[in-house]
Amino acid sequence: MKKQLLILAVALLSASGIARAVELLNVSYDPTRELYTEYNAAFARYWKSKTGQEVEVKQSHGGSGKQARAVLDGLEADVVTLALAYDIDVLAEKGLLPADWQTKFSNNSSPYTSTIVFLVRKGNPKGIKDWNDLIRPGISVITPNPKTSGGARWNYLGAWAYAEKTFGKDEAKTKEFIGKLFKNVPVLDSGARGSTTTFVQRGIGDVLIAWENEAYLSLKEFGADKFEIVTPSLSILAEPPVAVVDSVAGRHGTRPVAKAYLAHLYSEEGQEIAGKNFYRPSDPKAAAKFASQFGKVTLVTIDEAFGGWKQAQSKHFADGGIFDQIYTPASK
Amino acid sequence: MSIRIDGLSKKFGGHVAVQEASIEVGTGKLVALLGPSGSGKTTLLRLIAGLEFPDEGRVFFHGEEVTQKSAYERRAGFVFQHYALFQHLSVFDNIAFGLEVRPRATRPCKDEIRERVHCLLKLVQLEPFAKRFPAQLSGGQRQRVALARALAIEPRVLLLDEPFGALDAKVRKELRAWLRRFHDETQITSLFVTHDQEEAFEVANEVVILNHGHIQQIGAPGLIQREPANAFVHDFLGLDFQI
Amino acid sequence: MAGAIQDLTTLRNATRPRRATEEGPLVRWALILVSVAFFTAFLLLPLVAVFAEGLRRGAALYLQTFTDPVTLDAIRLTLITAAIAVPCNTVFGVAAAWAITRFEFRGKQFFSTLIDLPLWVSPVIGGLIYVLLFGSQGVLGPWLQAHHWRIIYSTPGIVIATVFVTFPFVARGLIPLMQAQGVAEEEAALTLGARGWQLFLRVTLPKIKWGLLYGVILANARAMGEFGAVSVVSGHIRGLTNTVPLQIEILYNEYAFAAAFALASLLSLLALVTLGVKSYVEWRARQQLEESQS
Repeated sequence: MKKQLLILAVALLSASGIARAVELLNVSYDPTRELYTEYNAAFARYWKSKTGQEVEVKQSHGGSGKQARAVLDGLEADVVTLALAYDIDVLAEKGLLPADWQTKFSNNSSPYTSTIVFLVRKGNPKGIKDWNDLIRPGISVITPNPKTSGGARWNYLGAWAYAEKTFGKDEAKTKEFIGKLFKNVPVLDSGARGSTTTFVQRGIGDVLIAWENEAYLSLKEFGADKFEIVTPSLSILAEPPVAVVDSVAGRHGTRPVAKAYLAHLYSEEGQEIAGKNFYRPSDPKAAAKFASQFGKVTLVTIDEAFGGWKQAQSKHFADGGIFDQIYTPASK
Repeated sequence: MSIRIDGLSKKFGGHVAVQEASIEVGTGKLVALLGPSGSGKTTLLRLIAGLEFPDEGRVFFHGEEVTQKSAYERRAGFVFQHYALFQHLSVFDNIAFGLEVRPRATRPCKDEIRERVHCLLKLVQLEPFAKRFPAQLSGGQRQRVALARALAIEPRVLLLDEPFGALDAKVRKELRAWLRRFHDETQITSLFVTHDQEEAFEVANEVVILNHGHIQQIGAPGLIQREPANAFVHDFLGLDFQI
Repeated sequence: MAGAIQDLTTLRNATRPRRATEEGPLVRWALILVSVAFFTAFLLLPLVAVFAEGLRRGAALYLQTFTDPVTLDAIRLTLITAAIAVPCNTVFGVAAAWAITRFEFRGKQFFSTLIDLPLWVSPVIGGLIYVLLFGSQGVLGPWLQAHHWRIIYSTPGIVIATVFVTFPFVARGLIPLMQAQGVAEEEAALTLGARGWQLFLRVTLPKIKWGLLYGVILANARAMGEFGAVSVVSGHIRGLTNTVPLQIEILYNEYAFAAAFALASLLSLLALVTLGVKSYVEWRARQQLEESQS
């Protein structure tokens, strides 16, 4: 790695415009592996044809919170593509990128969105239709740990949003609902992909609360003959944002490439790849093209229902927050 | 090459092993350190060899002070009670060891080493065993190899720590006589440790008697027997009470 | 190595006639049966399962796993890590064993106990301490960043974490051995004029070589298979900071189950080879011990 740094430094010092190989590190959350494998190849081709420069994008995946923590501790990410804005806010607080990072790209820096749906066994033997089915006794629910996984936090907020709609402003009842839901959870994995594997490969649980894209990907990987997707009546609009980590990209001299890398996600090619990987493209034209592959669901945003990520994080997920208050392992 | 020690003292933790020991071993003499177990005789020998360093006192080899010199600088041949032969080396290689580890400048060439080793093997009457390993030898044979090994470096002095202690009575007697003859032939200044008074008196020119780290008496065997210096010597040697 | 010495005693005991304190045949067979059952269930079956799963999609796909560039990078990183960590710990281990068995110094017992620390501590802690030390938010973080030195989330961090978890193996293999062997031969060599390196190379090393090899083999197996500590300091950068155990987890999480198990079978093969070599080494060591004691 140090050698690469040296090469980059030399490239910077010498006359600009000379094409040399450049490397980017994209630190991403768990389920985006397939998306970025495809996208990185496409971007390399695009960048080569545009500037003649070779670019190699290295990937790191893990639970969103865990990845943010790693970047804080020194994982040299040129760009981060995490599950939720709060995880990137944390980096901004420590000065790795500017506080207004979310304005740098359109749509709140979310080139694609997703939502939360349910994955069940083929034939839906337990008759799961909506969020309230998840609290029935005897239903085993799989979801990752909100402390480490971004997806898990969206799951939680989706459930909360539904409960709030049902019980109105009676927070005690809403809390009770969430408590019952988590009582039905036998195992908390650290990332969304871990939970998917638990449900799909290890065969644990009746229903997986998953990123929409994860759910569709599972169908593709394992065959629609084993699982099916149940779209709840109401769910939360998950906006996984992207950002250039200015301090790192500045040091590496990769800012222009990094910006272009993220910008290209919004291009026709980028949106096409997102849609193909079961993300909802944010560009309206692309969204329309892929609309038919998704189920119909009423989406609420985090700002509407929760007053933004900062509030949601401190109220629900911080130490001593509501999740800590209500979560008890299912075995107890 | 004479040995002189002057006021040697050594403590291990709180226990005094050797106290104010002063001895002179004339060139070519064979001296025995005699005493019961725990009397400090082995410690004294090791102090002379450089395997231990004294708290007080000095050691001289032929007038030259060697107190601060470590064992490998003193060139004192040492024969251990349990032989301490190099198990992974053959008899030949054991004996050649001291010559092989010499710095390049003073190391003899391969042929010379071979000659010297064979000479020594002849001396200790073990020529046919050159290729054997220590594990394949009897106790007496091993001890002779140990002796030859110590002699290979042409030591200034020869120190033996209960050389026959681990052998049975018959072999011990044979080797005792052999050692006497050997010493007469080579005239190398030697100091040996034993708890067996018969051995000490039979083999040595002079006997040093120790108890609890203190030297009790130094003298020729006959003299000690006729005039024991104190009650301890008297009792230790089992002499008749003389009025 | 202490195990080899114990085995010798067992061997001697086995040839004696039955003593009053021995259990009856029923108890003996029950114990044997339970041990075999446990061994089969927890060791043998999983091992067989790993190979079976790896070959489930056919031998062609099995071999294809090892042509994937990212997997090859992982294998390379594992080999490099072991190639650095094991020699390092061999040197540390020999030095520590020498210090403990040949010298007297204050705090010797404490030091001896400290050597075993990586064995009691969870490997995750082993990784975390380096993040706390060398991470950007850590004690040395800012200084390292100023000098553009990357330790955590890069190969050096992985090597350091591996050195930590494999530290005790060589030392523990040597200390009881060297204590049992005593210093007589070394003292003899001293009186013959050998010193320092000569002493070590010509006298000590030949005596401890089997114990040393034993420790090195164990350290190597652990270095190649370490997951917890490495996972914490790795950063999981594909093709760069993933070792074989980490890569196995990644493959598994990407639904490439056959590939994951194929790679796992490689580690299992390593385990079997290690076992084989270890048994051989123990046998030779036993021989050597018997010879020297006759």
